[in-house]
Amino acid sequence: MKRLLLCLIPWMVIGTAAAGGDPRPATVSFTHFGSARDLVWRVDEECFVAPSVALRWGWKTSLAGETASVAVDGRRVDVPLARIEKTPALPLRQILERLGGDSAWRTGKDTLDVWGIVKSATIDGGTFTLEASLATKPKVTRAEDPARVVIDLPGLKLDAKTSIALGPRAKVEQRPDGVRMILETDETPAMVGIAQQPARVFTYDLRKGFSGDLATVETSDPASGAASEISTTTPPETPDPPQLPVAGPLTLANETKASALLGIKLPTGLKEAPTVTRPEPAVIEVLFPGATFQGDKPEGSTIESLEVRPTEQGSVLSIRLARPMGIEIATVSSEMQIRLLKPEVGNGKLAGKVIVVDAGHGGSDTGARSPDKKVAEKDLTLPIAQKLAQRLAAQGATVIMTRKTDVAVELHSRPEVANRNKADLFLSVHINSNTTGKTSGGMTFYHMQDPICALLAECVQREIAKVSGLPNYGIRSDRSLYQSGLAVLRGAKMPAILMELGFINHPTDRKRMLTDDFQNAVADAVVQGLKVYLGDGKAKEE
Amino acid sequence: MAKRKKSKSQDKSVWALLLLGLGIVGALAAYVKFTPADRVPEPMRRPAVSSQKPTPAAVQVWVFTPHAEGIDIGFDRTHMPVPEGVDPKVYAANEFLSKSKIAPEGARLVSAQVIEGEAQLHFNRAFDTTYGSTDESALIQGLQHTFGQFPDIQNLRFYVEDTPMSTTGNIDLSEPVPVLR
Repeated sequence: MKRLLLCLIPWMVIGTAAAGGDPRPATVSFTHFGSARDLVWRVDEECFVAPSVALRWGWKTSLAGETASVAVDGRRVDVPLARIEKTPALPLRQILERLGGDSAWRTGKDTLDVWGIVKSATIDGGTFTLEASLATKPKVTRAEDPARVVIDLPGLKLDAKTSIALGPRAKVEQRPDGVRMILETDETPAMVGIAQQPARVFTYDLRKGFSGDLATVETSDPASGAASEISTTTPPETPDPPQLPVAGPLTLANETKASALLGIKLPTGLKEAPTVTRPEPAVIEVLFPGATFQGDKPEGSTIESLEVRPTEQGSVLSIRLARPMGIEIATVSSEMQIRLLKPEVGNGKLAGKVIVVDAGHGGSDTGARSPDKKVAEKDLTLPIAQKLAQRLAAQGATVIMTRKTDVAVELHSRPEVANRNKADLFLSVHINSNTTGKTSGGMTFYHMQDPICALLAECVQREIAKVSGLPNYGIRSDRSLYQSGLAVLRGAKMPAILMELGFINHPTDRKRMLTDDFQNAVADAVVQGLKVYLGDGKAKEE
Repeated sequence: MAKRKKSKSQDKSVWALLLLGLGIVGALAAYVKFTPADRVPEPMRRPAVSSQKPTPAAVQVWVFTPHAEGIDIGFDRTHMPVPEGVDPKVYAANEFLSKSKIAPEGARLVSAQVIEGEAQLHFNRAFDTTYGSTDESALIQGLQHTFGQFPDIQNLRFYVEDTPMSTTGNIDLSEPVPVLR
């Protein structure tokens, strides 16, 4: 009896915390998945999430009485089930502790940051292996001078117990947004790709990598038992017998005004993970390497049309959406799930929208400066922001500028202007600098992994790239710069982006950015990007 | 009379307490003196104050330097001996500042005071400027790595002279900045 009571104590503590404590809305920033805000609560130091939130991370929950059984990457964790606001809730930090993950509340905030811990990074018999406590989605790039493969694993951390056994040509390092593996190769590997399949264990065949023609990164997903591979430049081997595995059908579920869930059944014979790209803001393409797709357009208003085309690598399913939407991807068992998040765009018109335009820096806060100190970032951001504001106003938008003259404005008060005025969008104009490299080009930042902000950034940056005449670095999470992101984006409660239009320390960029032609063209491009985002008049892309 | 008796017994108690205290101090000193170093708890092994000058070979720090990886920044590190009489933390930070060339010439860390795991970094006035986001990220990350090598530091606070810094351009420095290890 005594033992029974002792066993019940943790359950009773959880139950009391949930029922008798003071649950308040919270946010979870979960490894590479980014933020979840709905159905997340904080009770003292514990964080509770609804099973539907956990499902977005690929966690499957089964409920039995007062106990929840959570299946994560082939592991199972039993925890006491709480109920908050009549919703079943899982004690997240307790689960993470059992899985070997790490979590911490941000100082003074109800935001929980969740990290996977790297257990080991080793090279053994020509194979590089990295094992982590939680799954993540690697981004693989190649680099030259010296030739190397760079594998970024967002949402992972090294800790004191991490076992590292690497030779002189490989290293693992901690970065603000995760862990980076760098593997030196004898020649530039003919490989670049992005794995869409999250996994806990990653292996890299160094011998293939060194040969320079078969460099592949394999990811294995213990949950599905399926091995997956990042795309390579070499064509897949012809299967024998020639019958290709068939992916599909495509299902559409939970269709609401705010979101919808696409499900694609994956065949058991699929040896490589499907990859997802967005060639246009309203088009999602899924490549099934070495496989075909069969399925019809599901009923509903979210999808406009489907198209399947064969390529050397495998079939590509092209999904045209009714309008641009944010996406989140997860693989649950043998199904790929694409959550579509529909931005709140009101009537879909620029006219009537409240838009805050933030000219970066100002006054004594000069921002970046040219090497000769003659050109300051604050003096470039202001005219570009003013030109943008004029164009938005001409379209019928209500525009609020955080500064109209050369004055210093506190970093925190910039998004506060937007929050106070209940703005629909927040646009921050900046110029970059990179003393370490000789970088030229532009990029747009969004906050953490917010899919709606990422979509806004994508729409705007695509248009800027068409006219800027500078290299395009696309869109990036602000977490790649700093673990809590950029202050103005973090503070904004509406879709927000920060545009870095070029590098002030690069002579070509600086010369171009000082021209009226550049400033006018960029201002026009941002307006066009906003129209694409809003679906305003079905703005046509070139 | 009764009062005198009470006073004598109080004297005896005081003496007994004094002797007991001396005994404890003596035993502790003997323990530290004669116990092998590996059995002495870590905090007791570190001399709090030493009048002896540290041998130059005893203090080495990692000095970090940034390098470009496309549009990202990576870091190399080299082991460097700390000059005699210089605070290793201040030395490591200033070497990073001068090698990275991101901060203006003359920008220096003046002192690094560690209180309960938080290093209060007091920079000189030349450090007080703002940057483009890539440079700013490289600067802050470099300092996070630099101080991450010291196990007694978990977080950083930035000051120019004695005034707290709120930002170096785009990043919120009003909150503690965690080190990177």
